[in-house]
Amino acid sequence: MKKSKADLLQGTLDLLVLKALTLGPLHGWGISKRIRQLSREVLEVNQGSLYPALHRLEDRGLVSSEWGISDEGRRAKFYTLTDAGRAQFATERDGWSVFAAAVAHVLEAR
Amino acid sequence: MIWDRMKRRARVLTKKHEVERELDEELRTHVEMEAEDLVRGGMAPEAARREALRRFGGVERTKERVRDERGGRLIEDFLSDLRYGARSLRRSPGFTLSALVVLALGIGATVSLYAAVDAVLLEPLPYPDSDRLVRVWPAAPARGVERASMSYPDVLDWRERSRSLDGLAAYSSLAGDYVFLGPDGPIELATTWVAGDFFEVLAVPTLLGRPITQEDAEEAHHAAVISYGLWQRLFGGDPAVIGDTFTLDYRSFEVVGVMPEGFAFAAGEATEVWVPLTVIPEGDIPISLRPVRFLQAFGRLAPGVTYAAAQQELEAIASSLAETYPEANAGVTAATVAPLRDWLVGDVRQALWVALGSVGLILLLACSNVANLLLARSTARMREVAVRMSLGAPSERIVRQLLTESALLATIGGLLGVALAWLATRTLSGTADSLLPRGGEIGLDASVLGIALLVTVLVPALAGLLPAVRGAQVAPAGELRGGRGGGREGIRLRRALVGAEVTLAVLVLIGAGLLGRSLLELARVDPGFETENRIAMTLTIADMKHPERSAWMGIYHEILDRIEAHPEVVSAGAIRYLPFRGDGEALPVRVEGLYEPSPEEQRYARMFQVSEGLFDALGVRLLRGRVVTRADGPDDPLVVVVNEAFQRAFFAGEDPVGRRFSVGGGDGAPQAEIIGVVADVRHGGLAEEADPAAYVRNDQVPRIQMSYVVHAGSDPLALVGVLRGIVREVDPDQAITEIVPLADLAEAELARPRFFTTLLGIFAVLALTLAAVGVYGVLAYLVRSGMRETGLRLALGASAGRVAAEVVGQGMRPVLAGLALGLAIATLLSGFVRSLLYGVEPLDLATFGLVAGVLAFVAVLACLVPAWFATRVDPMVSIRGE
Repeated sequence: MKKSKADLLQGTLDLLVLKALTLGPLHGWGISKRIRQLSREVLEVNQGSLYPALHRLEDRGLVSSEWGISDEGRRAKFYTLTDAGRAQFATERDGWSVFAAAVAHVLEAR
Repeated sequence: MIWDRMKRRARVLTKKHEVERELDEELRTHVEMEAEDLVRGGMAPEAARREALRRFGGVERTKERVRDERGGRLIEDFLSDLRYGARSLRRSPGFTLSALVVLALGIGATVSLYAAVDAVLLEPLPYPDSDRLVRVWPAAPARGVERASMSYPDVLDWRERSRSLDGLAAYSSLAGDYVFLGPDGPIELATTWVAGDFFEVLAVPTLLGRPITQEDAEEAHHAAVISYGLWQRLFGGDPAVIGDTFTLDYRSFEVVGVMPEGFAFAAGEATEVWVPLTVIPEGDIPISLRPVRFLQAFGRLAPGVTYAAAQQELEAIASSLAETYPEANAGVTAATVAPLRDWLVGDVRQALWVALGSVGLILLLACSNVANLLLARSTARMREVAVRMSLGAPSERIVRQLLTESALLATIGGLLGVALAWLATRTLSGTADSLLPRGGEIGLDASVLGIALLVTVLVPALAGLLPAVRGAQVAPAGELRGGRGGGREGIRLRRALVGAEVTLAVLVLIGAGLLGRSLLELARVDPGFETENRIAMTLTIADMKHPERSAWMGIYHEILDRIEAHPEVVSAGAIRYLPFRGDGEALPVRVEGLYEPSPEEQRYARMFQVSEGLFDALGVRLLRGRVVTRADGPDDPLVVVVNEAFQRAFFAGEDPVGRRFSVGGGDGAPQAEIIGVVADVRHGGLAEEADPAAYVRNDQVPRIQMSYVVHAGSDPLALVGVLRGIVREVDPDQAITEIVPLADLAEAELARPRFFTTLLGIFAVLALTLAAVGVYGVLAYLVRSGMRETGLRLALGASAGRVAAEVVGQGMRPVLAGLALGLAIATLLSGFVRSLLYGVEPLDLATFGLVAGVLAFVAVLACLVPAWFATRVDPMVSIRGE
């Protein structure tokens, strides 16, 4: 039980991270901030999950990383979506839409 | 993409520090950005920093999770375990060295022996579908003959009638050597006579040209197939040789084919020329006569036919032939069928399995010893493990780490072992070529290396798992407080291991002991002739060059006379078939009134052609009557000298001198008069009781191939040149087959048993050493861990002798239990070696007693050293210490 819940959250987090990066390269803090903004302050990303997720996505070749300089002039590690990551995002987004619509149907069924 | 991933993982593994520093920086940046953000929101810097850190949560935990997620974690752990293992092995060189030596010896010995078993017993013969090839023999059950030679008419009839065999091939190596007159004088080429489908049944294509065919055999073509070696040596590898004629045995043969390199029938034999058996002159062997049995046969089982079915059919054919031709085939009513490979390998099979079994036991011993060493170490390292566990290492990680360490040990040991095996098999294949069938093929091939790998994987599993699991079962609290909680159980385990080691050693030692005793018995056997200062020269007189019997017999006499006349020669003689080199010709014996068997029950004596001086030259004792003389000429009545076995078999022990017997049944059977009795000579081999033998003068039953036996005054090897010179003077075209000191013949008889005995002897020493080391190790540990107690007792006045006796007693208890168990198992198993033994029973009390004694003695020695240490304990030091 516990495991399947973790899997779901993890999968969702991956999707959100990929989405955040479709808008351009970002560092970890920026990603968590962007997700918070995009979700209208609803979703708070736990850093203890964010960084393992970033490194996992990088290991799977969905994102790549590079050290660069942030807007504030600070050295930071920037993540960029790779082609594979873009394709993966498209697939997962479609899957999520179908899933969300299905859940909505079920919940609103009379 | 895969490539990028591998590159990233490689970076994680190779540039660990850099990767970790980056991770650290990345997370720190995050916290700082968060703090700055908070400051921008109006928070005081110090408070913002604290809040940012709080929001982030556990930095170390996050890092740990990142490490899990970024891939390569298992490898990372493994590498760090490996480094840790290597470091801790380096730290205790004594342990590492002894474990490596034990492992290398165990693995090396196992792999070498397996290589031998693989080459000799397991690898298929180098012919297509070789497992369908069977060796077949006619058998005469009433006479106790299971494997008889075949006549050519029988071969043709069997082939014609058999449906269960796809082809029946026959050959005879009685051709011996055909003389080839080369530019440097005559040389002999090992020649085999073959029936028409010899090559067809083997299904090995020629390299060049064509094989000998059915037509060659029917038409008696002078066609020859030559070996690759001969093609290179004689014809310089010229492909144009096909169709050439060359002179062989003073006749002209056409080279029709060349066999591929390495081809040999019955590996180890070295035929250079194959010719159709129909080229044999009638005067040499009358091949068309059914009683003339000189061929060996083999066939290929038809698809779906079993050995049993083939045997049944061949027996029916044999029985029907025995009815049709009662004169020649009476009693030959059965057949024996065996896989060709089994026949080739012969009695080596058992010896090799026993040797491999011994070596397997040694490997177990080695494992048990390493396990013992590891256990001792894991006990010593309990504190270290406890510290690591209380710092949060899961016990599964600790097992993994300890296993990695023993795997590292086993891998190094395995590599050393394979290196040892490589050396051993290189040496072995050289010496084993003459000792074992297919011995020259021994080497480290893929399947042998596979076994080496398997052994190297299994050894740490066997030796390491138990200690590793036990090592991780530490109660950190108790251990750190300084208790000795886990020690007791460890000692029980190690005692059990010692017992098992002794049991294993008993088995190996008894095997070696039985073989050793058997070798001693064999070496003590009186072969019935003298070998000291004796040398023999074998040659086949070129009857094709001197077709008249009087001419070639003249050459035979001329050579013999000249040898006898040489001043260095004490005496000289000649015999057809040197001892151990041939069993003579079968001679059916009938004695009127004493031995008149039915044809089915006819027993045979072995007939040997000899010269009058042979018995003196060979040192065979004359017991009664006289030996043959020059007076027994070709036209005089046939006279024979018989051996004691002959007297026992056909004369019921009565003195046969002056008596007559007939050769075979029937009215016109030739008669022979017995003129003397000599002592038994073991013609068939040292381990073979002498058969009834009859010696006739060569002049009365002449043969072209004879061995001259020379009794020299001193070093017989000094006569080699003299013998060659004499032959050259008599006929420069005469080739010599072989010149060999008789001592070498006897030595060759012992070579194979000696080889296996030496092998098992080495194993026995190994087993004994390993067992002794095991006993010593455990006891030394016991003494060390009981030091405080011993010191206390000595201080309270216990006598040193008593303390020592108790230590020895403690050590000997598992030894004696293991000894008893080992002897019991050996009693059950020793039957396996029966076929390898000569003159010793498998349950030989002396061997069992000796082994038990030696093991007990060595074990007591191994106990005495720690016992001595125990009594030397200084009470004050040991009580204060620790």
